[in-house]
Amino acid sequence: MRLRVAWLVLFYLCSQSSRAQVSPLNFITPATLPEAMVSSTYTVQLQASGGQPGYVFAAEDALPPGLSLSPAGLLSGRPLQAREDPPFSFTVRVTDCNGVAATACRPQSVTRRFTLVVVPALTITNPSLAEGAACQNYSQTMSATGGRSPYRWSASNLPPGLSMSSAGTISGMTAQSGQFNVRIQVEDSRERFATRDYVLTIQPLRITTTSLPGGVVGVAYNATLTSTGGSRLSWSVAGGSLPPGLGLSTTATGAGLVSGTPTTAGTFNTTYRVSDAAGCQATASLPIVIQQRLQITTSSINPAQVGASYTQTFTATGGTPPLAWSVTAGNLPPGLSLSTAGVLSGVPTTAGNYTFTITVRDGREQVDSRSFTLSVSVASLEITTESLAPGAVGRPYQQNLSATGGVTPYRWVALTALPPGLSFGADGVISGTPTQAGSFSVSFRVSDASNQTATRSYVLLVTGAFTITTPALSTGLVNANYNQTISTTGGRSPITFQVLSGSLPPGLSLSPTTGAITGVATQAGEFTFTIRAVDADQQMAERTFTITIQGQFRITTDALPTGEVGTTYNVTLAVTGGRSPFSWSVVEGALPSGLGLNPTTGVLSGVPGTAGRFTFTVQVVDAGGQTARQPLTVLIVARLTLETDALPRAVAGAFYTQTFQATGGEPPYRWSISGETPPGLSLDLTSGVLSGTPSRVGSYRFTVQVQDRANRSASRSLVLDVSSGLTISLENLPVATVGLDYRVSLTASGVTGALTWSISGSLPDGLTFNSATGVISGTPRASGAFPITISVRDASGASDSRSFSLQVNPLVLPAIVISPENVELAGQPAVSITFRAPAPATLTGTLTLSFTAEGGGDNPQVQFSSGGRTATFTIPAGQTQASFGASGLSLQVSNVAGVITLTTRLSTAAGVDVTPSPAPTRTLQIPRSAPVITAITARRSANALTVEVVGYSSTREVATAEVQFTAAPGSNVQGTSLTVPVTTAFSTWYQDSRSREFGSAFTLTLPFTVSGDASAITGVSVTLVNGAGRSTPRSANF
Amino acid sequence: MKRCAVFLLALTALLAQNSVEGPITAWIWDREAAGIRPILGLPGASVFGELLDCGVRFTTVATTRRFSLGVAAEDGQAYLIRPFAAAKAAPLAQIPPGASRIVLSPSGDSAAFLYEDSHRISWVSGLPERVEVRHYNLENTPSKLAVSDGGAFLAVSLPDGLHILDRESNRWKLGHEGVLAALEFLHGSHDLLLGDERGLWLIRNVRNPDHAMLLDTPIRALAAAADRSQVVALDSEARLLLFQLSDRTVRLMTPPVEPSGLSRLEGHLFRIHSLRDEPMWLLDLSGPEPRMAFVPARKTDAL
Repeated sequence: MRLRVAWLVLFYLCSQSSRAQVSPLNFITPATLPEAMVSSTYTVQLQASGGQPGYVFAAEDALPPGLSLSPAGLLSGRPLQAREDPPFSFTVRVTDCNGVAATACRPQSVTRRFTLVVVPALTITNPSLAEGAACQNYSQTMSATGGRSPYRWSASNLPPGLSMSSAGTISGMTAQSGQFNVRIQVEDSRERFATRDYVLTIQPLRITTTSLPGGVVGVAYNATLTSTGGSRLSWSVAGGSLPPGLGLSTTATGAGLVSGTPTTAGTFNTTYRVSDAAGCQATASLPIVIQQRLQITTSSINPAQVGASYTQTFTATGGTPPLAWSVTAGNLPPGLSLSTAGVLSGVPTTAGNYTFTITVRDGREQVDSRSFTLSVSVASLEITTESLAPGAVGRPYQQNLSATGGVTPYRWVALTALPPGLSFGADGVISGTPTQAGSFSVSFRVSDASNQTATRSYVLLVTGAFTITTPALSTGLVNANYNQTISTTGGRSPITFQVLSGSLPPGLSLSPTTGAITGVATQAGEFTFTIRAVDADQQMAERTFTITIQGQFRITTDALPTGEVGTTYNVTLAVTGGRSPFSWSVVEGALPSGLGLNPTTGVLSGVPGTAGRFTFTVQVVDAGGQTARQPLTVLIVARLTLETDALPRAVAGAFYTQTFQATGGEPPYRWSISGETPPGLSLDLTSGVLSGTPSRVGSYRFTVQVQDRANRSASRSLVLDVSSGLTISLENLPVATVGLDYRVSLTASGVTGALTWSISGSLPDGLTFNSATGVISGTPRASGAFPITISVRDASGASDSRSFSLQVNPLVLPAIVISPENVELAGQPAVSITFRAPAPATLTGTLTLSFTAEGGGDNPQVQFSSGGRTATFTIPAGQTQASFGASGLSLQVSNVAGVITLTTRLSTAAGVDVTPSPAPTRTLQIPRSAPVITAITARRSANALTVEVVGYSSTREVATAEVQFTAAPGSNVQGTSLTVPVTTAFSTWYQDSRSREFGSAFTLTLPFTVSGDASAITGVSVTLVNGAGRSTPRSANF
Repeated sequence: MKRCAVFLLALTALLAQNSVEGPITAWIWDREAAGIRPILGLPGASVFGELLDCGVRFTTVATTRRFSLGVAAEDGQAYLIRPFAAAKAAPLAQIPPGASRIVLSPSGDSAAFLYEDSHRISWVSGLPERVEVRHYNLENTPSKLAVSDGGAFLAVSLPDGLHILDRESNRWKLGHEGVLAALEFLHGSHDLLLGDERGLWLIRNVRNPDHAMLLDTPIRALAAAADRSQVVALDSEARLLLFQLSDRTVRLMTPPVEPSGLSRLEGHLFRIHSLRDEPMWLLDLSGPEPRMAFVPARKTDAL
């Protein structure tokens, strides 16, 4: 806002003289003040002239509201009230000399009445600006009040294209849409301003069409697109595509037109654009759904039959639901109708061919029609009755025959004679009362209105008089379900049953409607009763029956007494119910060994051989085939045995206790003693402990008996020696071993003075007894148990004796392995003897070898390296390896086929032979083999060649020597290969006793004479052949 | 090659003259029995044979397979012993009696009879058929003595060193210091093998000696194979060393007994001496692999 401030510039020329002539004081401001405007700042400086300096102004009456006057003459403020005619009027006095009389200044004052026009405030009165539209002419006229016209208008921030005239009109056209904050200013004629802010809304260009209708393939399509805003519009496709066959154009009115004939079904999403010449645009996506053409797809319909239910549904494709079907031409067969849903149904009543047109219409008025012809025929006539109900003599009979198909009415005829007493009507009914029983073949024919006929044959059974056919009722069991039914013949249902006389077995009942006798019999016995049956025709039939109820068949034995190993066992198994004879068997588990079950008597008996608890199941079958089973368990205990077989000796005056031991039977045990027991000792009858302090020396024999809870008993006679005190301390002699040193020093307790020992019985060979020292010593030579009695007497004369059994066990040696385990021809393997476990004692031994040649005889070369065929060795106790001395021992196998046998004998250090039986032996086989040539030498003289072959032949025979001479190159040599028979030469050698020392080794000398230059022969190769093969050839050069 | 005229050779095996005998591995000197006995059979399958009954007991014998030389215990006479001759022991009159030691050359065609009390050597060549004897006096008794085949050289170890004597009585000293433990000529050669506390030595051609050290380990005894291919040595740790002269390779063998000495019996067969000598252990190098074999100790209950 631009304020217009009226300036009144008052120039005050101040005189510099001190004493000037004073002019009269007066206002120079005109009486009519400049116009003011309500609420606008108003400032006017009142001026005066003349008088003395120092003007003081003051209002003498009310100023216009909102204004004030300062003593300096400034009239200012914001008027609050307008007044134009009449204007505000007020008097102002001005006084000089600052209003104060003074010597130099004599105040003057003057007044003037001023008038002030206050006009109303300048105000823009438009409450708002009208809404515009993009690309559309816009016009808005502004108005104002107050101030003083004429007004002058202006505006800022208008949308591009709009402007404000000075006369206050906003006009123009903008392409922009939106909200614009516009400031409008008005200026009055006095250059006073007023402003006001507005929001100017410019609506965009807009497509107003919200949807497009759907189309149908092949059907012309036409839809309009509309918009708001803009001018000189044009339409186009901005995105997607139009349905094939359609196009977009702009109408003269600026609307968009989608038109054409769609060729393809589907949903087509198209974005349309409308553009204004001014550049405004608007878009909208509007889908178009093109549907397939409505078309009836039913091409043919099924034929129908008169009287038969018929349904045919017509179908169509395409179109826009809902579809409505109708018959638009022709007539449907009588009895059939078409629903709007397209279903042709009903029951045709008239045969014939019926042509009609079916039309379907969809929701868009698409229609399609098609003509159909329905053939209605008559169904084949057929007798449907499958069989004839049986009749009974004397009972009224009726049977209706039925037929289907054809055209009613039907007419029936019997083609054969009916059973006596029955007749047949044209209505197809067989009726009457049969008078004769039998099986009758009958035939019938039916014909219809269309002259169709149908025939059918039946067998009509006429039964005899009404009777109860059940001959007898079966036997039942107490507590078992019973179910038997009384049967009848000849009656007509329903048939009722009743017990006419007598009574059923307790627990059983008769069904009056079914004739079944059911229930659970509770009492054994024979029950006789009479049953009466009555049929629907009140015919009666009676019969008397007897039901036998037997007691339950079972094994009553459910527990078996305990048996004892070695004691005869005998128990008879019992049964109840059933009929003999019975057959017993064990069907599960097994009886104790030694026991058997008699299959006819059911007696379980035998002598058990094994203790234990045995569970098994027995089965018994009676004469009627009933079966009963019973699981049983029998306990077989071991034989009751009193184990204690000897008592340690007691000493008179010393506490003694000994507990007898028993096994087997069934504890608890009860003990007893009979015979003479040492005074002072007593037996606890429940624990079997014999205890106390014997008071008298002696040997007491008594019998101890133990009894188990089943009163089985075992007893044993025992001897208890009570000694005086001198007691041989040793309870038992330690066991001796054959070949090992043995020494036992006997001692005694309770000794007085020197002891003298004696022995009776025979000590083992090699042991001696020293009566002075009580020492048994030596090296036993034989095993066995040697009973001896040793006695001792001391200086007081007290004595004690004790019997011993000196056990001498054989020395058990661990297994011995003699190596080598196999040998090679001409080998010298090391020999070893190894115990598989440490030797129990230091042993010495001899290893002996023998040899038997394959062809008999010996080979003295077979020796140990130590010479000869016997070698000794030792094996310390705890060691496993035998020692043959520092040099060890080897075996010379030599080169003759045969068998070497190595045999070991062992002795203890005491010289006792402890060789196991059989003695450890190793047999080594030296196999037969081809000859072996170890060396060959060739010597040549002027006309002789000598070939010397050294080797061996384990078979001690050589048959041939194959000699191949090598000639010098260029020489002509004949007969260089020779096979020399040497059997005789070798036989002579091997039969010579001298040859044995050589094993099978030999030196064969082959002399050859040469006709010609012997120097032409440069080398020789020899192969020897024996019965086992050929040697490897060996060669030498001359 | 000279082309020979075409001629016919007929080789006829003299069937009637084929003979088979038992092979004798070697003859050994049985000191206790004062005679020689054979080792019958082949190495690894042999036994001692009966003492050769030649009517003479000997104080010392040196053996070969064909013959032996011995000194009679009774009169000190030197004998030529031929087991298969009619006269098994024939006196060698050319050799003065009283020899204390006999050393044979490798092939046995020469020998030296040593008289320790007189420092004299009777050098024999042409054995066994054409015996020729030369006598030499030495200033000391040799500690070791070796004879070459063909009687060409004598090697004697004297206090002042190793000396070589030839048939022309020439004598020279080989520049080899140290105390010799073993001394032997190689078969059919003038090459000398030495063993001492320093090692095994080979002196090529004693007339123009060429020293070569073969093994750097103290040697106690040595013997060479007849074909000069291998040398067997016993070192100070009682190990047997088999030395191949062709490629200078050494193979160690642990004898089954503690060896006290080593001697060659025949060809490639050596005896390993031990204090017990029961059984007798042999080293057989004739096969593809060296083998230790024993001859079972001689016992009266052997057969």
